[in-house]
Amino acid sequence: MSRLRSLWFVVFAVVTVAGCGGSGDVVSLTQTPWFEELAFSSGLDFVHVATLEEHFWIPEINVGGVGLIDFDNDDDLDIYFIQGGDLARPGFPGPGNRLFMNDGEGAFEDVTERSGVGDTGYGNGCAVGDYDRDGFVDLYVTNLGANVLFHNNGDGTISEMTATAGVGHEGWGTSATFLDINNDGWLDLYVANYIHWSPDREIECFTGARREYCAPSSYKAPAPDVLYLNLGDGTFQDVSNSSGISQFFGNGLGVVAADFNGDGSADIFVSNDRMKNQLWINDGLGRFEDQALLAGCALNQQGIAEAGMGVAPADIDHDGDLELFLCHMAEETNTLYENLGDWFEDISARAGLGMPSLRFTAWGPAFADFDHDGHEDLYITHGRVISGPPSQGSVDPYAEINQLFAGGHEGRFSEVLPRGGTSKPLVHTSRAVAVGDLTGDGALDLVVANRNGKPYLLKNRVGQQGHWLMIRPVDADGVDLWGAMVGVEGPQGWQWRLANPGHGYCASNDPRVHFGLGDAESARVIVKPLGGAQRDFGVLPANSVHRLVVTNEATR
Amino acid sequence: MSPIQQIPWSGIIARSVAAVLAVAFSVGCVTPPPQVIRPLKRDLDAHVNTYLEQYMLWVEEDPTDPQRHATLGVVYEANELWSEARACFHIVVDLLPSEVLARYHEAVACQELGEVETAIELLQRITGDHPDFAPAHHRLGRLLLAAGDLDGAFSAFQRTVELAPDRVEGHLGLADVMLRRRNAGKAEVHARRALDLDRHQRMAWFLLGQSLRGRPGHEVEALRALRTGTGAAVTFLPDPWSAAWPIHAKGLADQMRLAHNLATAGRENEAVKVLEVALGQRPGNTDVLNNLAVILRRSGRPAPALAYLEQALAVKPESFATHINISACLLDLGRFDAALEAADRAILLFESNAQAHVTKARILLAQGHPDKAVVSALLATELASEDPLVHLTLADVQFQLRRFEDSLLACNVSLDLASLEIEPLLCKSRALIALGRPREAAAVLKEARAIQPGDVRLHELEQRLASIEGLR
Repeated sequence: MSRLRSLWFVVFAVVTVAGCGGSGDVVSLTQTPWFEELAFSSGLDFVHVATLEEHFWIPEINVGGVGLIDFDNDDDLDIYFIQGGDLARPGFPGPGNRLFMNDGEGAFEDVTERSGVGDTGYGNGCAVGDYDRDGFVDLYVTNLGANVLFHNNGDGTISEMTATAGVGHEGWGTSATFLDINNDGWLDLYVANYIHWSPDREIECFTGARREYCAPSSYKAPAPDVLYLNLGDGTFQDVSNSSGISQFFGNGLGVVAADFNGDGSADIFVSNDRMKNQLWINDGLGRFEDQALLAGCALNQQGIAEAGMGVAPADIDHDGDLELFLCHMAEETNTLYENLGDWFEDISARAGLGMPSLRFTAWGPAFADFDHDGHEDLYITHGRVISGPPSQGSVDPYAEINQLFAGGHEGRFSEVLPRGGTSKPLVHTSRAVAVGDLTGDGALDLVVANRNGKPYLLKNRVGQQGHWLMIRPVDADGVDLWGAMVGVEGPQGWQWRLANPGHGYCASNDPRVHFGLGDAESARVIVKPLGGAQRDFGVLPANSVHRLVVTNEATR
Repeated sequence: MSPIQQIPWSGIIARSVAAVLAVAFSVGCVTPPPQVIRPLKRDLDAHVNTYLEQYMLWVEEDPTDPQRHATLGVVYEANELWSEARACFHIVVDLLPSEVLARYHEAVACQELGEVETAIELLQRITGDHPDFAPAHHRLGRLLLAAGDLDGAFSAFQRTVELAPDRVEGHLGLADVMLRRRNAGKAEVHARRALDLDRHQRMAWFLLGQSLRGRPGHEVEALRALRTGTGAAVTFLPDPWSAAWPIHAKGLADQMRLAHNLATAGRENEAVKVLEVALGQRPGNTDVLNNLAVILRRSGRPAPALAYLEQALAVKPESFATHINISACLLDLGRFDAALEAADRAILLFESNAQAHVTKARILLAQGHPDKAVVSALLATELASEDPLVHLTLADVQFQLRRFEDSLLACNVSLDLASLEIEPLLCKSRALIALGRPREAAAVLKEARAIQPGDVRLHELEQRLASIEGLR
C-alpha cells in the first residue's frame, strides 16, 4: 500500500469488464439498459466551463453542481445548472448559471434570461427551499466568493435577496441545504465551506514530478461552515458561533440534514475532504455538539481521515433510521455507514460497495429505487482529481465512467453492467448528480453535471417493471415538511425515506419522496414530522403523487 | 551519477539462470531476452528520468539477469510508477518463479493499480507456496478485510501474528476483524497487545476506542482513545525490497518526505543534505527553501535558515509560509520588532490562518507583552480549535499572565488532542505546580516520563517539584 501522502494519487486502473467489479456480485447484462442519455434531445444545451491545467488552481477540479427545482409550481421539475468560469479574470465572472424549464414531459427550455437566475459567480452548488413560506421554492447558490439567494416571485422571475436576507457569506461554499433546526416551520440554512483560497495562495504540487492539483490538506486552510437561522421575516441570523458549529470544521464538501438519533430534531452530517467528518447533534434548542468521533462516522474504521466528497442518506436496513453513504477518492473505498442507533458501523464490504469503488474517485451519490422492486439502488458519479491515461475512448485525462448498483436483499448491492447503466459507456469528469422524476412517469431519472462538459440527462427505462408511489408531505399552509420521515409498507416491508432534497454533492434533488412497490397496487403510508407525532394516512393507491398535509402543533 | 544500488539478492540462482539463458539464446533455442521496461509517462521529472535511465541502461547491459529487472522494478515502485513496476516483477517471476519477493511485489503493484482481485489471487498463491512469508499474509489480510471476507482475513492476520509476534500489524488486523464481527471484548485484547508493542501506534488507539465505546463507565476512555488514534496510517510489514524504497524515491515530494522523516528522527544534518540536493536540482523552489529553513531553525540554526528564506522571498514576495518562517527565525534571533513585522505581513496575507496568530502571540510574549499576546492566542484557538499547538501557546500566555487555571484549561484541551505527546503533559504539570497541586503534578510527570524519560524540561519540572516537596 502506498505511503500516506499529502498529495492525491490516482490509481492507474485498467478497467476490465465483468469479473473485476470487486467482491460484490455483478448483475449480468439486462435486456434493457437502465438509463438512456437524452440531454441534447431534451433541450439541455448547457456546457460547463472550468479553465483547466493552465494554473492548476484547485477550485477548477471541484466544480459542477446541479439542482432540481419546481420553479413555476406546475408539479414538474425544472433544472438549474451551476456554472464555473475563468478564475484568471478578476471576480471570476463566468457565463452564468442556467435554468431550464420542464414542459412536464421532459423537454426543456432555457428560461435563464427572463427569470433572472443566471448568477455569474464561480458556482459550486445550490439549495432549494421555500424560506419565506410563500408557496414558491427559492434558490440559494454557493460560490467561490459571495453566495447568492434568489427569492422566487412566483411569476417566473426572481428577486435577488442576498443582502436583505443576510446570507451572502463570502468564502468557498460547496454543498448547502435548507433545514429546520428549531422546528418552528421556517427553513434555516446550512452551508458547507471548503478551504480559504485565493489565486495568490495557490501552491504547486507534483506527483512523480508531473504538475497536478493539490490536495486540500496541502493548504492547511479549512474554512468553517455557516449556519443561518431563519428569523421568519425574510432575514437570517448567522448563528454559527452560538450554535456551536463553528467550533470544529474541515474541508467541507457534502452535507445532509436529518434526525439521525431519533430525538425529533434535525441533526447535520458534514463530509470533509481529508479531515474528520462532523455529526452535529441538535439538542433541540439550536445548539449542536459534534459527536462524529464517538459515533464512528468521523473517520474510517482504522482512524484515517478519507477524502469525503458527496454524502447521501438512505434507510438500507428498513429499520426507520438513516444510513449514510460517503463518496471517497481512488485507493479509498466509498463508505456505507449503518446507523445502529448509538453509533454508525462501516458495512461497505458487507454491502458489496467497498472493493468496486477502489479504483474510482467518487463525488455524487444518489439513492433511488429505479426499478421499483422495493430496494433502493445507487448511482455514483466519478471523475479523477489527478490526471491519468484516457479512459474508454475519452480524451479527458480526468474522465471516468460512473457506476450503478442494484440494491438487493439484506442490504447487498450488485453492480449493474454495462457499467453506468447505459448501453453506450458515458465517460466524463462527472461531479454532481440530482435524482428526480423529470417526465412525470413515476420513475426516477438522473441529471449529472460534468465538469467542463455537457450534462447527462439519464432517462429511466426500467421503472415500468413495478408500481410506485410518491409523497410530498406539507404542513397546514402547504409548505414542505423538510426533515420528515415518510414510511411506506412495501413488498420488502417498511421502507423509509427522508423528505429533504438537500443531499449528494453540490446538488438538490426531487423534493417528493419516492417508493418502489413491486407488484403492490397500494401501500400504507406514515409520515413522521420532525418534533411531531406520526400521522398514519392509511392505504394509498400506487402510481400517483400524493401531497399529504400533516398538521402538527409542534411544527409551528 | 550515483552508483547503482542493487536490491538484496541471493545471487547464485540468478546467475545460474542468466548463464543458462545466455547460452540458450546464443544457440537460438529460446525466445529473446526480456525487454527493458521503460516509463509509460513522458513528462516525468527530469531528475526521476535521469535516475531511471541509469538503471535502464544497467538492465540493458544484461537483460537476462533477473536481479537487474527486479532492482529496476523497485526503483519504479519507489517513484510510484506501478504499471512499470509490475511489468518488471512479472519478468522476474517468469525468469525465476521461486523468487517470493518478486511474486509479492507483483501483487503489491497490482493492488496499487486497483486490480485488487488479482492481487488477492496472487497473494493467496504466495501464502500457499511460502507459508512462512509474513508480509504476504499481512497484506492478504488487509485486502480480504476490505473485500468483506472476515474469515479469510482472520486466518491471514493470525498467521501474521504467529510469524511476526513482535510487530503490531497482525494484532491490529485481528482487532479490526473482531470489531467487524462485533466482538468488542476480543478487539480490545488485540488492540491493547498492539499498544504494548508500540504505544505510539495510532491505529491501535483508534481500534481500542471503538472497542470501548458503548461500554458503561468507559465513555471517557473511549473518547480519549479515539482522539489519540486520529490520524492513523495503514502500514504493511516491511520486506527487504520495500526497505529500499526511500533510497530510490527521487520525486520532489519523496525528497521532502525523506527529509521530514530524517529530521523527525533527529538526523537533521542528513535531512538538510537531502534538501540541498533537491534545491540544486530545482533552484529557487520556494517549498524546498522553506522546508530547508524549517529544519535548520528547528536544529538551532536560525541564521542560515533566514538566508534561505530571503531567497524564497525574492522568488515569491507574497508567500505566507515564507513570512511566517522568517518571523519565527527572527524571533529565535531575538530580533523581536522585525519578527513582529513579518508576522503582521503574514496575517495580512492570510488572516484566517491560525499559525500566523500563534507566531505573533509568541513574539509578543517574548517581548514581555502577555496581555497583547493573549488576544492573538485566543484568536488562533478559534481558527484552529483542533490544533494542540495552538492551545499550548494559549496555555503559555495564560501562564505568563499568572492565570494558572486558564492555563491548565488550555493544557487539558491540548492534551485531549495530543495525548501521545509530552508537551501537553509538561504544560499541565507546570500549571498544577503553580496552582499548588503537587500530587497531581507528580502523577502527570510520571505519565510524561513514560513518553520521553530523557526530556530536559521534564527533568527541570521534576526538580522544581522535588524542591517544593522538600520545603514542605
